[in-house]
This record gives sequence, C-alpha cells and structure tokens, in this order.
Amino acid sequence: MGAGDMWDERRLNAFPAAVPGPPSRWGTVAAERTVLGVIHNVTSATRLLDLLTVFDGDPRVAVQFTCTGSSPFGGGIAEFITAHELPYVSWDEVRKSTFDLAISTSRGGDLQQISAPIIGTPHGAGYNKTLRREPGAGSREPGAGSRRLMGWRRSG
Amino acid sequence: MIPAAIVLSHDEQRERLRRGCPEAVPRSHVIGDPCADQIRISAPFREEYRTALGIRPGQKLVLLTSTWGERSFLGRSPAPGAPSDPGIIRRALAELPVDEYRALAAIHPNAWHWHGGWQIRSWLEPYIRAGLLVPTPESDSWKAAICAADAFIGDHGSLTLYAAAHGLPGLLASFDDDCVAAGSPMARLGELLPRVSPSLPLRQQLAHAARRQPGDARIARAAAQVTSRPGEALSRLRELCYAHLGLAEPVDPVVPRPVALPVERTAPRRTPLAQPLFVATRFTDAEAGEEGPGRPQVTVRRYPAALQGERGTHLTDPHVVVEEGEPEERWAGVADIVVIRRSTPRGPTPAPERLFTRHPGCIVVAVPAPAGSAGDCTLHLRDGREFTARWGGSAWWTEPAVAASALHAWLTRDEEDDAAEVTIDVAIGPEPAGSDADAGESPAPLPLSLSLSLPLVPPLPGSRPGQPAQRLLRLETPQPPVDGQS
Repeated sequence: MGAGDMWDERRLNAFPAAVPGPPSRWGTVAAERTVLGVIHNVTSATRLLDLLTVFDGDPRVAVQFTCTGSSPFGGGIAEFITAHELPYVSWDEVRKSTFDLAISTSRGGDLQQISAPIIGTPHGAGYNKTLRREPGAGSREPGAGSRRLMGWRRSG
Repeated sequence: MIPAAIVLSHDEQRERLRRGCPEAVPRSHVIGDPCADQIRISAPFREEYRTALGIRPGQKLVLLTSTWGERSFLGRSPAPGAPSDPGIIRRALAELPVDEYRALAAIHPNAWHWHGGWQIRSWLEPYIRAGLLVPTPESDSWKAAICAADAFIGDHGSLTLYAAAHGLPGLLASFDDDCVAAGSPMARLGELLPRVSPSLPLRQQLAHAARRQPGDARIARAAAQVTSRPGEALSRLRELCYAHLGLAEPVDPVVPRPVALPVERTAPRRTPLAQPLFVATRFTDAEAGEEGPGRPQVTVRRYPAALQGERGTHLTDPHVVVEEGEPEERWAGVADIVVIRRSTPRGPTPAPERLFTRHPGCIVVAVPAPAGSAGDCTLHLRDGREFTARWGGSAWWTEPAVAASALHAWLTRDEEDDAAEVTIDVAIGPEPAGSDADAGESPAPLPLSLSLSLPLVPPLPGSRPGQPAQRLLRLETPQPPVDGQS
C-alpha cells in the first residue's frame, strides 16, 4: 500500500468496459447524450457520485466514468469502480472519443485531452486549501496558481 | 484547456477567483454545496442515524475528523510511546466515560487509501477495542455521523466546516495554516475554534465548547460560508448541466435526499469479551426531601482501563471491572469486580469460588440471573455474603457490571449502616447538579433515571463458611413499584 499503490487501469480487466461515446446498436437504452464522470481518486469519486444524482431517472442521459491516473491517491479506485458498478472507459478510449459533457471534481490530470465541455467543481467544502508546490501538486483555490485559467493543474 | 464552467459553492469564492484569475470569473457559477444541503435535510433523522451507528439513548457522539497529510489530525496523533502527549484520539477514548460518550473517526479517503483500510484500522485498534467507530470513508457515513453527532474534534479538513455549518460545537486537534487559503472560511474557523488544550480534561473542553459556541455569531458567520445557495445546489447544477447538454430538464424537480442510513460494519473484529474498565463511583447519602426520606445515590462512570496510562486527572479512586476470561494479567490480577458471562456453563466448582482464586484482588463476583431477567444478578463477596440484585426498570446499561459497581460504592462508602435492605438510585453519567463540570449544560444522559435499591440484612456474626448469610440487594425504579421479591 501507500506510495506504490498507484492507480492501474489493468486492475479493471475483469470488469466489462463501457463502450465510449454515443450508444451503439447493441445497447438497450438509446440515450441521447453521454456524460463523462472524471475520477481522480476515491475522494473525488464520492463527490462525483453525489453530483451525478442530477441525472437520476433520465434515460436520455448516459453516464460513463474514467480515471485520469494522475492522483497519488490511486488506492481503492478499482475497488470503488467495481463496488459501484461504474461503466468504465479507459483513458486511452476517452482521448479518442467525444462526450457531450464532462464533470470533474478535481483539477489533476490531462483534462485538456477530453473532448467535451468540462464542468469543474470542488470535492470538499468549497475551496479552502492551497497545495504546496510539489510535482503533481496544484492549487485548490479557485483560480490560484496557473495562468492557464483556474489552476487547471495537477492536484491529484 | 478551458473549462466550460467553474462551480463555486459561495459568492465569496467568486471574489477570490476575481483576485486570482479574473478571466475565469465569467465562467463561474455559484450553485451552493450539495453535501451541506443533504446534511441539512437529513437533520430531522438524527435519531435514525444514531440508532444505525449504535449510539445509545442519551449518549453524546463525538466526531473525530481528519483530513490527509502529516499535519492532519490523524497525522499529528502521536504514537503510544509518547507519554507526555498521548494523542487526542487516545485522550478522547480514555477521558470520555464509555457510557456517556461514543467517538467516531471520519478519516479522509486519501489517508485511508494511501495506507489501506486494514492499516488504518490496525493503527486504531486499541481505540476500536475501546469503542471507537471507524467507518470506511467512501460511504455516506461521515454525513450521517455529522447528523448524529453532538460535537466534533477536527482539523483543517472540509468536515470541520461541514460540522460547524451543521451547528456542532467543536475543537481543533490540529490545523495546518500553511495549506489553508487566506480569506477562506476554513482560515476563519482556524482563528475562531479553540485548539485542544493538552492540560485541561477533554470533557471539560467539550462542555465549554457546547456552552459557548452555539451563540457565537462569528463562528456561525464563518460556517455559513459553506454555501450561499442553501438547498439549491442540485437544482442549480442540473440546470447548468442540461444547458450544456442542450436538453430540456426533466419535469420532476431534483431535490436532495436524506443521507442513507449507514449499514456497513463500523466495528470490525468484534470481541466476545468486554473491555476492562476503570470505574469511578460517587456515593451520595439519602437526603430527606419534601416527599419523605430520599434514597442514596450512586453515580457510575466507566472508562477503558487499557488507555489510561499515566494520565487520569479525570479519574479518582477507580475500581477495576473485568469480565471472566480476561487474558491480560495486568487487569485480571487487580480486578475488584469480575463479571461472569451469561453463557458460562455451570460447572462442578461454583464459579465464584473459582474466580476468587483466579483473581486475587477481586471482592465481588457478579453472576447474571437466568436469561430474561435483564441485568438482574447475584453478587458474591469474598467473605461469603451474597446479594441479589434486581433492577426495577431497564435501560441498555442496567447490566450486572453496573449493579456490581453500585454495590462496590455502597460497601466502600464512609459510614456503616445495618439496614437489611436498601434502595439506591443508580445513574450513569453526570453527577448531581452543581458537583460536575458539565452537569448544568446538558440534560441527564439517561433520562430513564433508574434507581437502585440495596436492601441489607443485619451483620453476620454467626455466619460460617459454607453457610453464607444472604443479604438482599435490589435495584429498583420507583415505577413499577417494588414488589419485594428477591
């Protein structure tokens, strides 16, 4: 455990992957839009599920999940995805696909590779922390840090 | 990469955004905080959350919240090898009486998953044995715990803000000023909430916070910054999402739902053996009142023996209670009271004799009455006397161990008395008003207000070994009436 327990997509091999993007003819429910939920770690994932309740009951919207693989806190993600039966799309597939919307509760990873408008939210009680400037660390203050708009840097 | 929308929970954040990154302001949307909304609408179900977490009626639940990192509450909890500072988790379990308080540790998932759940639970095992609840952090249990709690001890993590916003009084076990954004509500709470004092008893500090903080407008103002759109977060978020999707919103409104009841195991590795306890009793003699002579009272406060260490200013002259089968010699050897488990089979050697031999310091052996009689029991003394103890009412704590401690208090009181029979009011929790640090600020933790009756027979000059005289100890409430049966 600990530092060595990074996120590894291969751990999801046993789990059926979702087909990214728009519904295929093999699907049962033909949703009109596809939303991508972006997971960084279990912390951001729990908040993500809280937020995605806005789509409950609407078969027009399908939700898929991916993981940036950027957080040092990768432990538990595979178990979380499996336990919650999240339809998972690999990061590679995400880069090749287009989504109608992405929701991200953290700022890390190569979010610019996602082809979708992104809604960024906090994963805690607003924005209270500034992370120290270490490799892979950014700021969780709104707009602090990066000049590339809103501190969209790696912060886990 | 340009985000389409930046979601904020309070207008105040937009001002900080304006200072830090003005070009992002047009894309910002203040929607409020969905978790704060959910906690708010879950508040009416406090009793359901408490029941699901195993909190007994009248108990105070103290929420210990830790974010991640070395400067977090958990990161700052010293190892057991540090006698000068045992750490606040240990102090919470050691200093708060087990019948009046429960503690729940809400650990940040980053800390949990970095080290692994097994490791966290292993590190906390001495406290779990003493009653600490440690739910897995991915669940909704932290929200349920906030709804169920009476106070919190936190750090610079979000749960401190959520707990304060819920109106809970709290203390700070640690606070990392370096990583808290200046001007944020968390920074303000860091200024306003008291830090845990290493010298004052924790119970006193919590009582003080419970008295002072509810009326503190500065704390309320800071905590209210958790959301500037109370109740609206989900509906505003849905509006934002559907606008981006180019879809009409569903007809049905989206509303926050109460937090699910925690069902996961919060106390893994349950032991069949009750923990050794230090028990402090306070005996108050009967005082005549307007309605005739009152009853003597015994207040029983119990603490985990294994966590006391060198400290213990909160404890005076305790006796030690263990259950039959206690493996640790340091407790078995000094136990004043040994409680036989109800499941113990009746062997050829009477259990009391066997246990008086096994436990050289023991003066009372409690033998539970047959099943169905709640906490009634027979109490054997080393000198051969025997008491029958009967509770006149029942609560979760009316158990043989408490009856035995009440008898202990009666036997060790200052004065002698030859009454054949006596009734004692037994209480778990705050001592009579005026004599206790927090008696005034909270209602009695056990409003059932069970009383104990202790009937005594005359002294036993002619008693011989093998022919023990019998005294009668009865534990009764005023209602239903004492029926005199032994």
